[in-house]
Amino acid sequence: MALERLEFEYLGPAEKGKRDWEYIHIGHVMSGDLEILAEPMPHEPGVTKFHVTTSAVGFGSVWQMVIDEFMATHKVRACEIWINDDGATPAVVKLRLAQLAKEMSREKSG
Amino acid sequence: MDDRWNLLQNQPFSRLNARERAYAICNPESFTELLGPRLKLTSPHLPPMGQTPQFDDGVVVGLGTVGKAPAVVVSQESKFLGGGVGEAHGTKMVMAIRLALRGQEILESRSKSSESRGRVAVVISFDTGGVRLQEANAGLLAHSEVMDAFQAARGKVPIIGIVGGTVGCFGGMGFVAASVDVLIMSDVGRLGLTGPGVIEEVVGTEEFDAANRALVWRTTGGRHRFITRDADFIVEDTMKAFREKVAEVASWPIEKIASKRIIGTGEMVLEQMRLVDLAANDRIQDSWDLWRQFGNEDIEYLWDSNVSEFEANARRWPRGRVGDND
Repeated sequence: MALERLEFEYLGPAEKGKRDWEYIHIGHVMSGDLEILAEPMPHEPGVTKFHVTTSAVGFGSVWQMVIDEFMATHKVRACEIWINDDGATPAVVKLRLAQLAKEMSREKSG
Repeated sequence: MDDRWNLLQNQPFSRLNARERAYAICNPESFTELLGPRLKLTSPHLPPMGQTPQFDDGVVVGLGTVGKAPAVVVSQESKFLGGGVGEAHGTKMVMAIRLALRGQEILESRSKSSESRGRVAVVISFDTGGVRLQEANAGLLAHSEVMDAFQAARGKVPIIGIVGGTVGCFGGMGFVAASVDVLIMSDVGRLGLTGPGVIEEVVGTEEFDAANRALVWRTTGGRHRFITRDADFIVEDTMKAFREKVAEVASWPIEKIASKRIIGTGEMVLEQMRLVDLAANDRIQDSWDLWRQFGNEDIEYLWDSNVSEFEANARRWPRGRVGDND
């Protein structure tokens, strides 16, 4: 019944350049979907933190793989990413993360 | 100027999410969200039950301007737990209305002339099944507090309700929507107390077939609610149509707005009971029987016509109150 909370932290080279977005919020908490809130963490330029809250218990290793892949393909640094998940499949999580990456780059250029 | 705002105006209201509705119901670049997702004001009751919380608890509140009026906007999100009202969600609603009242007091204390000072309006977009069952006590309390705040706002701050989302407005929030000053619905919007699915589950398919979309919409939909005067206006299912109507109503004198209330005094309750008497008898088997009773003859035409033709030709419950003919 209880929710599972997962934490992931990534270290890398500090992000260069100024970030334009204040925060990014996408998605909804509904069966098979999730919401993502991204907030800048300017004091830790080389760190990315993920806080996942999920109603599907016992899928920590799957989350690890999906987020590892996201971090390997996108240059995301100095931010904290909060995920509220209501049983989304890995495919849906990947789509939402791709949406997040798109919003991050759009906000940068715009 | 504001591309996102322009783009949203021509979208179907029913397809937009709560945040888009709140943003686009206000004038361009005027909306500021309060207690937004970053504050993470989530429900404390959901995690122990294994339900993932949402950062805004399913409701967007904020400030903006609507036409010439400063406005406090509340917009419910039906994707999260069917728009159910829990403790945090309800608190945000109640505090938003109190904020509008406080804002109005400040405006009045600063300016003596009523023309120059403007007047705060409250706009509430309902998209909800009512009380969130996981936190029913807090949810119920929130409903009564919202209605209490409506009574406090009576004749001071207009409460403008809109119903046009995919869930509509059911359960306890059906009562709340009935107690606003002016209610605006689209024909896609639905309003009722017990939702169609619940009626079917409790009394059976013979009583109400929730899978029969035509039956559900002609019983709870905007057209029927317009005819029974539960809704004051019916508009097209576009963001623009809702925004323009809200701005128009917000510009009315407060006396005219307050006169549109349908509950809140003993006489008004008796008046509503007369409508119940009309509807709850053996001759009325279907909402369309009631339409005929009010003098509507070509029902098929009314049902199929577009919203403006419907609005012009529909004959509504002849309640007989002053101003009912506009």
